[in-house]
Amino acid sequence: MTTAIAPAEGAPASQVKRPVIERGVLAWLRRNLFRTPFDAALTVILVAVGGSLLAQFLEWSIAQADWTVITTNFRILMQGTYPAEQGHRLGLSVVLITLLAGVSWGIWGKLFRATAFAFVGGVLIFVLVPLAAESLADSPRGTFGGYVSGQLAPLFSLLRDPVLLLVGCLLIGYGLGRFAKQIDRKRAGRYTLIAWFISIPICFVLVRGFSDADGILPVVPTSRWGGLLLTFMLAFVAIVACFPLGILLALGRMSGGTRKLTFKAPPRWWLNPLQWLRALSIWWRNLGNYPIIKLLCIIYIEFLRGVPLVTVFFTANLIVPLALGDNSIDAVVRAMVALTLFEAAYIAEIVRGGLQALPPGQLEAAKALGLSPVQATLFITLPQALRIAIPPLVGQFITMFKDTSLVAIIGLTELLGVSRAVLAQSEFIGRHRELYVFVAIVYFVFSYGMSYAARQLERSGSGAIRKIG
Amino acid sequence: MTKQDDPIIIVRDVHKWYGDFHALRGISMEVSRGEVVVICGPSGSGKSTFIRTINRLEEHDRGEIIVNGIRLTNDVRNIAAIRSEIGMVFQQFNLFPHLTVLQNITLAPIWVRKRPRREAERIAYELLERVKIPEQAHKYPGQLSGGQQQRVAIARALAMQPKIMLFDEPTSALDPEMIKEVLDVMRELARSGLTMIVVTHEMGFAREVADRIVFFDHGEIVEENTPDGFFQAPKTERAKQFLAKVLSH
Repeated sequence: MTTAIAPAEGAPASQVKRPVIERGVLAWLRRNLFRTPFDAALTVILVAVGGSLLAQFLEWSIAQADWTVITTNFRILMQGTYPAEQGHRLGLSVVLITLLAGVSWGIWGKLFRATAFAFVGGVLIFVLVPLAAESLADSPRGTFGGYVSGQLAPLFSLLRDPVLLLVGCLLIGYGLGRFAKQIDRKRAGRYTLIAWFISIPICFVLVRGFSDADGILPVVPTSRWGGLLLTFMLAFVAIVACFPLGILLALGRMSGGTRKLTFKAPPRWWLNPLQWLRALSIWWRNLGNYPIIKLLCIIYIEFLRGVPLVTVFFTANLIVPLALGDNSIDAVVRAMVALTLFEAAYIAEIVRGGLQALPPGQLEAAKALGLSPVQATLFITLPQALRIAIPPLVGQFITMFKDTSLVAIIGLTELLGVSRAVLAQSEFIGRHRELYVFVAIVYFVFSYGMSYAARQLERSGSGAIRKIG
Repeated sequence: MTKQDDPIIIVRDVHKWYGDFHALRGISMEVSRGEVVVICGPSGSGKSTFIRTINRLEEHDRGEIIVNGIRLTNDVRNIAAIRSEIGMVFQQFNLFPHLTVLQNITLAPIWVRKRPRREAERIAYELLERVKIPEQAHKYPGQLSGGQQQRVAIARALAMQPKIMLFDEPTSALDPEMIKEVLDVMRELARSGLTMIVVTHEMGFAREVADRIVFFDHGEIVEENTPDGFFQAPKTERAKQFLAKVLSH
């Protein structure tokens, strides 16, 4: 490469030009895909294999697949047997969450041009496909026209209004967030966080309801939650609950100082209840220094990491009711608790990794300033550790979202369970490919969304903060 | 100002082991109010370990340490009381990278001393003025040079209004150009009458500022001397060898 550059000897450094880097598609291809003969061979083979797979898939999805299994069962896939006349409650929850997500995005994130184009493009497809379908209405089945009019159009017109609504909410929220940020960034952030904390129980109440059948919000029993709704509820509750539990477990596992408080008993202290309280508080505070808590945390974490999630679900589903002697605890609640307890062990290890990645000087500086162990954890070590741990934490949350599909095994009808139920009907037998492709796409869309949001979150901390020391 | 008969730090026969390694072997010394003590010696001689026992970042295994009349024991309340009297500056600065300079300085006054935020911030600005970087208050540590970071670290320690300052090789991680700006701040502190214990390899600084030089080797105090005495006529052979090495390069 150096041969292309004119020799710069003798010229003053200020006049030496930076060598020109070739630009353009061809130069890019040469640099990245055909740099060596091996690269070239690899590129050709991969393109050939990938292209043929893609072609086969497209051929199948246009000529052979029958996607009506999705359009017919769309409602049950999304919300299970949740009463249709109460569906607006789900819609309201989703709108609320989407708005808040948009506001958060406006405050902490950035709307990249590519993302904006993707949104507009997505919306256009949902509007245009049903329109185009009308002109192709006479095309026979098996051709592309027939595929668009007979297969795609019903799905897309079904999805059009919800997608428009959600993207609209997201963008309105984004605008609101940007606006609030301009006025007072700090307060906007604080209020948004508070709004999240309030809206989570609100959504829960909206979905579940509290009054009897004639009231404003009649209770919908969890046995009627299903499909994507149940997937969401399981994942959401488990993520929200296992996070603090995991942090506590991590702190417990890393605890174990040797410092102890002594109870200096005044004479006849046992006559004074205030002194009892003092003794009790000293005993309680010393407990944190005892290795027993550390030991319990280690046993908990290692035990739950050592068993498959399925066994935990089976235990929750079969052994717990057996031990209690009745079925008093709801099956969905049992699944939520099982998932929470299981995932907390993994979260604990991730948080511990973050804590251990901190230079020891951070804790020493906090101690030297006189901060108490609790203050040092809350203000110094935990915030830094969590920031380090964002990528693996999000990875675990995505895993958790997908792990909810295992509850299908214990008979709950979340997205995957409902799909199996649909496939068991005689009219849809053999349509498992179409349905599972659809389910995979749904899982992918939400997992990728989480991953994307997390990358925005990582970026929101400026580069200066990420550099430690 | 200096009252020689009123020691603020008393250390008696302190020993420390790391496993089988005997790191401190019977250290005894007293530091008076307002005194500036410089500790020097080869690396691995126990200097840092020793000053870290004074605010209990390291636990000593034998002997006693009394700071400002409080005996260091396992009782967390004593440790907290002693730590609030002692400021510490580290070799690696150890600023909190997720907090701004101002937040770094005000955190402990607000949460440990329970000062109102406004007052803590006023003191922080004064201290930043004193260490000559008032314009950096809202930056993050990662945006500052090493010398500026170390001066923030000094301001952070001073914000607790400590009676004693410990410096653990404060200039060893700095580029040569930045050493002076940190030493200038430390000179000014020494003149103001603060009690200081400084572990350093900056012999010029030691000679100029110290009231007393303590030479450590192999976990023991080999020599205690005045700066002039130490640099012109060291009493021990080990100190002579050490000085020959550090002064000749």
